[in-house]
Amino acid sequence: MLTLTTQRGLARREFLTLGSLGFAGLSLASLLGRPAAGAQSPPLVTGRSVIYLFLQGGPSQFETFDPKPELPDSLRTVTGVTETSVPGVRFGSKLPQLAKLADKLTVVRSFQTNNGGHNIEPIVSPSSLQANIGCLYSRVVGATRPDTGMPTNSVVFADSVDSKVLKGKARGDISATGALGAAHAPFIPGAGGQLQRNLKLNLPSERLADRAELAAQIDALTEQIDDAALDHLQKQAYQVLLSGGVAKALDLSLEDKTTLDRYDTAQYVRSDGWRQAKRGQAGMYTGHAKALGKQLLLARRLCEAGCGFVTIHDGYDGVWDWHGDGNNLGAYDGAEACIPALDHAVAAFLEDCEARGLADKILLVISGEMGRTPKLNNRGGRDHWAKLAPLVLAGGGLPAGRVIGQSTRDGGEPATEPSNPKHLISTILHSLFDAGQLRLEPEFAAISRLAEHAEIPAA
Amino acid sequence: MRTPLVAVAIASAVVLGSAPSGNGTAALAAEPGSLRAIIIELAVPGQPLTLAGRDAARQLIVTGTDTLGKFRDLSSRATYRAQPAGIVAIDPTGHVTPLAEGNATIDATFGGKTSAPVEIVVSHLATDLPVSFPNQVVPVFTKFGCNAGGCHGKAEGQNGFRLSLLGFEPADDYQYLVQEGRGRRIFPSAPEHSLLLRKAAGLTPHGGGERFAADSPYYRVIRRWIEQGAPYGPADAPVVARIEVFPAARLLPRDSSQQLAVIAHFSDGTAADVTRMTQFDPVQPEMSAVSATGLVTTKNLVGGAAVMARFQSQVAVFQATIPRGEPVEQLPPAANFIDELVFERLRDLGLPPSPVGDDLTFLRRATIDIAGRLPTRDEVEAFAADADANKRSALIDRLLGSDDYATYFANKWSAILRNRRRSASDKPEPTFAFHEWIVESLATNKPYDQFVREVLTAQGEEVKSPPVIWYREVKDQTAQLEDAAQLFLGQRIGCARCHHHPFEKWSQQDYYGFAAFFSQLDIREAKAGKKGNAKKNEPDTPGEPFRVLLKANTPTAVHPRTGLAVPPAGLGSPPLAIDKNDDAREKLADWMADPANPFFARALVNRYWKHFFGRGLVDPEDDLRMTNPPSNPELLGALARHFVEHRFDLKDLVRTICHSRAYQLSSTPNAYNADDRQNFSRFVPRRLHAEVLLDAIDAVTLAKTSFKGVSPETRAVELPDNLFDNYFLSVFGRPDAASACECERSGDATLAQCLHLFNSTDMLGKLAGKRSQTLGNDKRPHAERIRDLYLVALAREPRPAELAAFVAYVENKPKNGQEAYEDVIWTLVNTKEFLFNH
Repeated sequence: MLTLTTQRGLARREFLTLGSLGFAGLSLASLLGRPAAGAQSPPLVTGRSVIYLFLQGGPSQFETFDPKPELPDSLRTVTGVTETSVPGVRFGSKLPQLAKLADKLTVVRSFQTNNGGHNIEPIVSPSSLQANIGCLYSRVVGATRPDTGMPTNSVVFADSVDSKVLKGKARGDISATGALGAAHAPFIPGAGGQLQRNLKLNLPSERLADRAELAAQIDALTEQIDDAALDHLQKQAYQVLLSGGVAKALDLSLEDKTTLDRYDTAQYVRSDGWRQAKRGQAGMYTGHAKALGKQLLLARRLCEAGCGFVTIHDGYDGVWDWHGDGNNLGAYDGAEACIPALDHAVAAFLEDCEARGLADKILLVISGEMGRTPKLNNRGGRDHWAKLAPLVLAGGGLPAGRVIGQSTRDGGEPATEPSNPKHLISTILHSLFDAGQLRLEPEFAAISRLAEHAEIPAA
Repeated sequence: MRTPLVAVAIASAVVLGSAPSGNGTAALAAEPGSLRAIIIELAVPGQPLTLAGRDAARQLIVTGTDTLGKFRDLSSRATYRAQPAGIVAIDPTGHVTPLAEGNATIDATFGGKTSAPVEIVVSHLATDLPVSFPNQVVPVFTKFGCNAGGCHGKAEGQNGFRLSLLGFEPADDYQYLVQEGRGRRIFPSAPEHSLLLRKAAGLTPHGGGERFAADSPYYRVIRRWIEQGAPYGPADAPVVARIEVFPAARLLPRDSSQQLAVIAHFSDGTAADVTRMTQFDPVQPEMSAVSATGLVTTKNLVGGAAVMARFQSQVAVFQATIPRGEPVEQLPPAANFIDELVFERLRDLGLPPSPVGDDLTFLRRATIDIAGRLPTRDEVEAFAADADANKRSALIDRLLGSDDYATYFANKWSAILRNRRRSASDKPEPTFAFHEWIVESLATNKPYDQFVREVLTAQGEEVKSPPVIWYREVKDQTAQLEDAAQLFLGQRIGCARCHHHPFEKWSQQDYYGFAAFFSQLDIREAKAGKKGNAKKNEPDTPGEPFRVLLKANTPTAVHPRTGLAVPPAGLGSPPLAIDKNDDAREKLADWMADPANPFFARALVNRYWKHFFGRGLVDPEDDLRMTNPPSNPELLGALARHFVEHRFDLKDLVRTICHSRAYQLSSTPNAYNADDRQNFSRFVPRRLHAEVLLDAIDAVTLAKTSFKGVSPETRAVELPDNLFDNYFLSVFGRPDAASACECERSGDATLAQCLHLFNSTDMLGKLAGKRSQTLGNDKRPHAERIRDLYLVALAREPRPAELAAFVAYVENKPKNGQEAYEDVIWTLVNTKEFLFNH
């Protein structure tokens, strides 16, 4: 462990070996071994994490979780259907792995975002105080874990796990903090951000060692202002900077090979990259298929290391935007280009969490910003649709193997009590927080009010 | 080493009327004097205690008085005797329960002394009294947390079973339990099979586990209630008017204990012991703990420790005073009434304070707290050289007269008055104007009541009438009254919107009476203008500013439960008849500014006390509820009186506080007061506020942070509203003005802050700024250059050893003078002495 003594040499030697010795104090085991919120967490939190897998572009409800096989050709899923492990529930046929795991899922068929354009709602919207939902978590627990430096709120883009794919980009400011303050901006592995820049040593380690040594000398000469918490944090800061512990949580090459292979979705990359659509030429379908599995793996590692909220941004400008208009693929090709990687990645994640005993500790949410039109357009595409959108929840201790709500016969609107992003955000907040405790803290009144909204029924 | 005279004061101060009287030679001996007498408390000669019915019980409180006049709780140590036997049972804690009808006498013996006998009468065992649902069943749900906000008490209930929060609505509970759950929860034919009992006793799987045992008195009373057919009880059954905790206050050594008894007084004039039905909670869990049976145990900290007792909708507190018991001999001469009261408290507690701190420490402390900045090098040198004995007072006056005072306090008020923009697209003029108005009000020392009146009664349009911006953030009545109550009265009454306040006396009636003051408002949102189409000859549509207008209606609010109109009423005051053409808010401002108002002045002086001492006399500073008593009630009262007598003069208040020796005490702890946060026996260091810290770093490095949208000289404390996105300010806890609570401003240390100060390119850039350049190229000896930094950063001369260490460091780095000075500055700004006001 780090002890900064005033004896020259010794302190310095110790200090400079921190980088390699760092594992003693801040090993991957200690980073990854603790639950998302440890024993010292304030009682405001439940200890659960949330991963929000956001499918940019507006995924189709028909080709995914609400296929409507009984409808005529121009309406029903273009992919055919598959029976699932839940009797009577069918998914689109491009989801064979998730169909087998349907008993682990909660499928909401009455969800509407009431939004028909490209943006990043519900991740950032007026319903989340114009901040990434994860900022609400960060605001309550702090931007980093005090013991490890692990950020509590992250966004994972495709290029966070693979430097060779097209750089990730969302249709809006996914780092928005609203009025919660820049300190709560999500940590974006591979994409900078102030916290991440501060986690990387910006001066030679020799120079930091000089300064630390000088500081220790001066400290010993000065009347001490007693603040053990700050002393501890300063030592932690040296450790974090020199050992790169957080970086290790991000390093997928440290993951077990079998696990890595199980998550890997690179097999779904098509050799021509779907060049017939402009998004294909830009490399978006390739980036999506190549990275999505690893994005989920990284999200799982982040949660294990103490990150309470991870946004996975999938699909760049919108690989799920299946207009069939030359920019985008249509429904048939879009389903082929987008869904298998999703099916594979989420199935790998669910199995992995189950095996690691994390199923109840992590809530996975899957949605986009909207759904797609019931009727195919004349190019075989589906256009924007505000009144119904796919939403799937898994884990987090929610009862599973259920379908909540029903859509109308044409798959265009909820036929039962609709759920909207306000319900979803309340469900997420209830998963993260002890809402009863939270509302006793006036400091968090604005956040607590969001949790007072009704949750998704029975979720 | 003992100070006998001290204890007399404490004994008479904290032990209320019903306690035995001391003999005038009391002492705070840690080892007790020999026992003089023991008594059973609350027994009135000639009036026997009564136990009516099988569920009745009585907690005896047995107090021993020693020859030094000191009291000791013997409730769990005395031996009890009841004669004749077989009428009552008494457990070792002094809890009496009935066995058979009849009369008995009880006495208690300890250390060879026996108390006077107390008579007790047991009745109504042969024929049961009907169980009262509201008075006997519902309190069980509260006691065991069944109806807590995290469980069945939350609005949607828990797993389909709902109870009213903390049992505030027994009629609703009756409906949920008996009528809605027909046949499921209650089986009158086989009470033990009732789901209610099986779940609560853990006999059927229950998410909340076993709450009480199947043979406990709580189980039995519910079972008998079901046996009796689960009646609600008569509609005119007596209700609890108030509860009383006995003793109300006691002096308790550290690591000692005191049994409490709780008596409920009913509307029909009867009283009953409800100790075991009462829910107890320590207000300062770090200072005391309390068992479910009401046994309070003190811990190791010194000062006041309250315990809250709750029975039905009533609350009461027990106040323990935990002394340190050291002689307090060296007190600085009192400068004013603050010192008299702080020192009296310290003498009572036997807690010796630290001495008064040195001049330069005071200079830095007062400059930061009054003017929100570090003293300049010139100020440090001048203050050190000033031989005037009154130089501290002169400094306070000079700082109060400076623009910096108004700027700094405007920074504070701007946040809690919600002077904020929601997004960068909001135009800045309205918030800038409100900020300017606040600065101006403080600079001209507008009386506080006037200041508040102008905010509360603001009307007209933004910019022209700057304080209307408060209403832009508190748009609906709920927000208006809750913010006004919290901000100006220290009352968090939000809970009473939906239910009786769980820790206070406020009911929904109080809440909506207060809401009615705001019922004439007509708030018009700003509208953006529209450019007309010139080709089509369309004119431009002008935008509309944000406006606050008044409607001419009779002010009332609707009580959501009764549906009745509630007229305006100040909290705890009678309703007012206000004409529809009058602005009810004026009457509210009148009510607040009334010298007899019990909240207004206290809330402000407590808020300012917190500003200067880091902790309110009531803490949190805007939560002045009765169950959160002040650590020094006399001082809070005296400060409030002073403030009223001086016509709400804010500068005078600051002057009075800063002038006190209590404020000027050293932060260095002595052998006794390192843990003291509550009694102000030393100055407790605290981290500089985000804005002050950033300005301080700028001043030391001579590298000014610039902010978009304001002039380049603007310092962080001068920023007019929240919307200047800056990672430094945010990570160091600048508030976002999203609530009326000062708790938004966080002084907590975080790892992200350390990383930023240690390693951000931002900081590294500042370190390479003008200061290190100048010092690196300076030709003076290193010692002089380093002295400069000490004066600027720490407002003091370097000590020889410090100077030697720095000089040696710089000399070892001959290559690049500037780099060495970057390291020196880095080191200084990362010391706690720099980061803290101390």
